[in-house]
Amino acid sequence: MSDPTAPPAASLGPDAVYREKLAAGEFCIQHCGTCGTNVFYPRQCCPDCGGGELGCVAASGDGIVYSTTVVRRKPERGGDYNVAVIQLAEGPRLMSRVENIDSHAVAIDMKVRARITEDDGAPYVVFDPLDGEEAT
Amino acid sequence: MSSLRGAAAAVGIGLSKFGEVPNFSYLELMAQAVGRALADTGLRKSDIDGVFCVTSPHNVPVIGACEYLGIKPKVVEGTMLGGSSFINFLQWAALALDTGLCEVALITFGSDLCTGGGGLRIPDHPWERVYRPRNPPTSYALATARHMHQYGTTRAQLAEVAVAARAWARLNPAAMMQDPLSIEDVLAARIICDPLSLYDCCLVCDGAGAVILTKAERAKDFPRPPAYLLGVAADGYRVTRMLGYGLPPVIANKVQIQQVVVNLLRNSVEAMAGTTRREITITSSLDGDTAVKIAVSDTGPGLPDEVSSQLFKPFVTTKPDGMGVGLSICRAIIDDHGGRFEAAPNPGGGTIFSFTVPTASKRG
Repeated sequence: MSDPTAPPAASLGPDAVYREKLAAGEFCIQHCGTCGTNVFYPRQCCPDCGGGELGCVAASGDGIVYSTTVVRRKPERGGDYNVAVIQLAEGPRLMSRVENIDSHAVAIDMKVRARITEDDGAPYVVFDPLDGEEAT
Repeated sequence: MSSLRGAAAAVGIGLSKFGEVPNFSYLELMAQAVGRALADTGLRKSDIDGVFCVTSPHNVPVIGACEYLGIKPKVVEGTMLGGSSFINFLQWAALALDTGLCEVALITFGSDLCTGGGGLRIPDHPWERVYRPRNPPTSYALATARHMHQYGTTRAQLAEVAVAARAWARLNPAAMMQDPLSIEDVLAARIICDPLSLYDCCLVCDGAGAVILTKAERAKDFPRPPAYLLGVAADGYRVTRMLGYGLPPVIANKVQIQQVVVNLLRNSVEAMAGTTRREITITSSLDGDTAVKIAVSDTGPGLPDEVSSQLFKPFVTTKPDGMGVGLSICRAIIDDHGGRFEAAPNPGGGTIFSFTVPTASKRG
């Protein structure tokens, strides 16, 4: 049941809106209504033109690996893990992790797709490889 | 605005004990360095009236440092820009001296990163911390991996940086690391974050440094030969790429097209020198059904009318040291590819240069 005293969604800042959407299973980026730039991470005003008309739009979830590294860690402390920069099909890049693949096998230009996962109840976006495909 | 070239000079420098220095705080080390710098000059601590300072553990360092050292400055500055903070301070210290805001400027830094639990840090950044980058190496590793991919840079080439740094260190008796270091040593060392090994990563040390500056006119009155500040700059370009996905392939001479793009980027950078808004946007898109269009836009002053009309004529240039052949060559390359080369005003200010290259299917 919805809480009638809850503030309307417009009272949330861009970061809170993003997290609310993410918790509802939707990965969103922002689109600038003034200059058309796609923006991630969520901001109050467009980093390109400075306009304040940033609307929340669903990301396609498609992207390619822009860069990748393996953070080396001893096995007894949890072992190696991947950190990657993903370029979204819509343009912006974000730091993330490619999962369901050996962390050393993640390669630049690999096509990936977003998936929402969570850690201690806090949702965040990771990516899975699209099998055997390389970006053209 | 008048130039700051030669306006100020370092008249004293000091270093604390360096390396692994347990049982000394960063402020104690800083006080050692400041004391040695003052000894160079013959000045008293109370002569210092400008303090420019950062420390490793604190993000509001300058107040604490002034209190610890017992200095009551007229000017303080404490912008943390990591390891380039002190170079950036040179600019503001020279300006403060030149305008008379202060007479004796102290630039200082103190660190206890080695014994004070410096180590690798997961940034407190909501968009990144969940992925646990261990910075600084993880962020540098991502940039390095991309550079290697994009430009064909090799680990051995990058190892030259560490090898050269070690060679310099071996000339300095106070340096932490004195053993010779080879490219092979760097390549064989334990990987921290692929592709960076232990020796690619910065040394972490305890220690402090201090530099005392005065206006150039006063500088020759001090016991040590002054070191004049001839130039300093802090800069940042923002490059945005909005590259289209799923564009059809084109048949092109890769080296020539790279030459065109590099030329356009260099023009953009040069056009924006001295302007406050410096943004370059590179876009790729489909041009009709038969060509791909690449555009490089800048936010510089734009092209004067008299230049616009003869843009592609050889030996016409707006650059003081330019030959005026860049754009005419660019256009010849694009003509040769069967494409179109254009210049247009950027609606937000500046210029957009664009060119098209026919798609492979169109060429048949």
